[in-house]
Amino acid sequence: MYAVEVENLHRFYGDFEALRGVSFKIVKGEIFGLIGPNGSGKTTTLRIIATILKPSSGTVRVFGYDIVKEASKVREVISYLPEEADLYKRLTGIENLLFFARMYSENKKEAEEMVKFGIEISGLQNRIYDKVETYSKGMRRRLALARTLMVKPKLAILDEPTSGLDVYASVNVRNSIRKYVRETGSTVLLSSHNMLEVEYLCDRVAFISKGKIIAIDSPSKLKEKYDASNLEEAFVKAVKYELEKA
Amino acid sequence: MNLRRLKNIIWKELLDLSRDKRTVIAAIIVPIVFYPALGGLIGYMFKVQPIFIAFIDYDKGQYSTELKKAIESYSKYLGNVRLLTNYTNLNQVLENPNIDLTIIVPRGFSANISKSLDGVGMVYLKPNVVSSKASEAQSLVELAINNLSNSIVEERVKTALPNVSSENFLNPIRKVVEYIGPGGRVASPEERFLFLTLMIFILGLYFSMHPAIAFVTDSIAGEKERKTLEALLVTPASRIEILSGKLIASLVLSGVAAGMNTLGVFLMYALLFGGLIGAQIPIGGGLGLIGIYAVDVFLTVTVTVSIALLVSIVSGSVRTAHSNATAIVTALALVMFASIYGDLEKIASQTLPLLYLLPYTHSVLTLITFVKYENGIIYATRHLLALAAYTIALIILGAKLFSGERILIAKVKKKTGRRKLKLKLFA
Repeated sequence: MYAVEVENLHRFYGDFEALRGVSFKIVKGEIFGLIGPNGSGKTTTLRIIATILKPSSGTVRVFGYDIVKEASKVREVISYLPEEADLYKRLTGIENLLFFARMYSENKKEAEEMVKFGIEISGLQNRIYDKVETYSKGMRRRLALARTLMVKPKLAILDEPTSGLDVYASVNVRNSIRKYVRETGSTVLLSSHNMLEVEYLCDRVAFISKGKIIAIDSPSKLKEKYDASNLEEAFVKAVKYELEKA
Repeated sequence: MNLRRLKNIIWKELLDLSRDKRTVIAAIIVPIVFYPALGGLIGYMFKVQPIFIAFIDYDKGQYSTELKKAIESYSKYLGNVRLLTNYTNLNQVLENPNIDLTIIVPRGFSANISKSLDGVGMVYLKPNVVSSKASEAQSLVELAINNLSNSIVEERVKTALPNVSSENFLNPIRKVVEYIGPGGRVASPEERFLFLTLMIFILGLYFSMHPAIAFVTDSIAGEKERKTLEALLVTPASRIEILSGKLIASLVLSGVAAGMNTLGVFLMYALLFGGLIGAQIPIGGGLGLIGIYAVDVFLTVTVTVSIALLVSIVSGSVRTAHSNATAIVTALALVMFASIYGDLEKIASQTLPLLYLLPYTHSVLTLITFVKYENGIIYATRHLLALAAYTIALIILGAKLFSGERILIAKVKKKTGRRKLKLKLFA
């Protein structure tokens, strides 16, 4: 069984077709990256997998559960970090973690363990007891990531996890993701338009452009396939190739 | 429904609320401070505001002097009345816009009264239309004139008909006033103020709704705007658990606000009348009315919360949600203001049954029917149940509308609309 199976996914917003037959599969335990420019359909794909949006047509299964018919089952095995996710500012860092931990846990002990793990992922140390409104953007993003990963979901969906962060904060977030996956063996689906980030983190990546997947493979194989020195160049060549083919 | 998750959502909402100083102040501090202050201020202003009566005496005779004395004598009952007798003509009075009423006693006033048994003297009263105290001044002067007229008639009766009782001659009809309450019971004279009491309570209802609107719009649209809702929607909590949690937290606020509002309105009432007539008037309907009012405020706030909840779900931002919810609630609450000018129960049952469709009609009718009917509690309970039914219906509708699709796609539709407009403009 695959962690995620997406088949011929279409999504319309009014007359605009945001996704045009997207298909891919994610193996359990891998970090899978969805790469594409702004407006390519990354966030729509992730939102559909996260059960927030419904597909216009096509099917999506997460650990065998259909995201439309079995949405509540899907929500029990996933955790999602939206691109512009923020936190409850009047609550402290630890209260934010506790709130989400209680949503996923069965009892107090389990929730406390999740929070402990969350504090560790966030790296906020004593600042975890401060109100979120006093945090920097980087601290907030690290806490949001910790909130997503601390529940040890079978599938973590991360939409642009380092969006808007400076280099130092981005490196911190990337290290947290990598450390987490190493410790838990979870599956991660992340989107990004930062090719460096994807190359560093992902086992396999899918290039998405104008609502269509144009290539899927490991970063090294994609570079090899498109005769590129880095993933950015490979993406540009893949898009060009698609245009010529069309 | 998972109770552990529901409790968790309520915990988060209340924790967040307890740290939201603006809402806490609006819901708790404002009613307990604002309402009594308003009542006290209105009462105090009525009490301290002087009444200026200009008395222009061209006659300077016996009866004009007696009239002046009578006015001075009655002025004591009103307190701060100043009878200004230094004016010699109307033009001087017109230069002072603070004069509430001018009395002109023309030359020959006393002579005309004295010349025969049916002699008539004229006085001219000129109330200032832009004065808030003119009608009070006019009542005072008319009381003095009536009293003087009565004593003149008494003298005439004594002269012309020495064996006739002047009192009976003057008052051939005696009236006995007995106030009746619901079911024909004898009511106390203070219960005449029942209608006024209700008006104050109805205004209290209106003001109680606003803190809840602010809290709910912040709780739903605020989560959208602050980008916290999307992550919450993906948790295992169901939509109904999320909405119920938010609603229950709102109801805790509503309950506290209802308590504070009741106490505040009660204090306002006491201070207002204390200031107006210098006496404490017992609230008609007694403790029962206060109890019903507290329940009514709670359910009125609850139905308001449900309306605001619905509006917040379909609004893109806190500002939009708050202004839309306020506009809708205010429009629906017009019945509250309309009820000041008429008996809403009579109007709804006799002429405009459509009014029953408005939730706030039931808020008002709860109070009106409670004091109007002998078994008022039964009628009031019916209206309270109607408010509860509205709340349940609105929550069910809210749960249906509360989807990720609606929350996330609202913006896309807006942008498309704008783009179409731009294209139209440039076409």
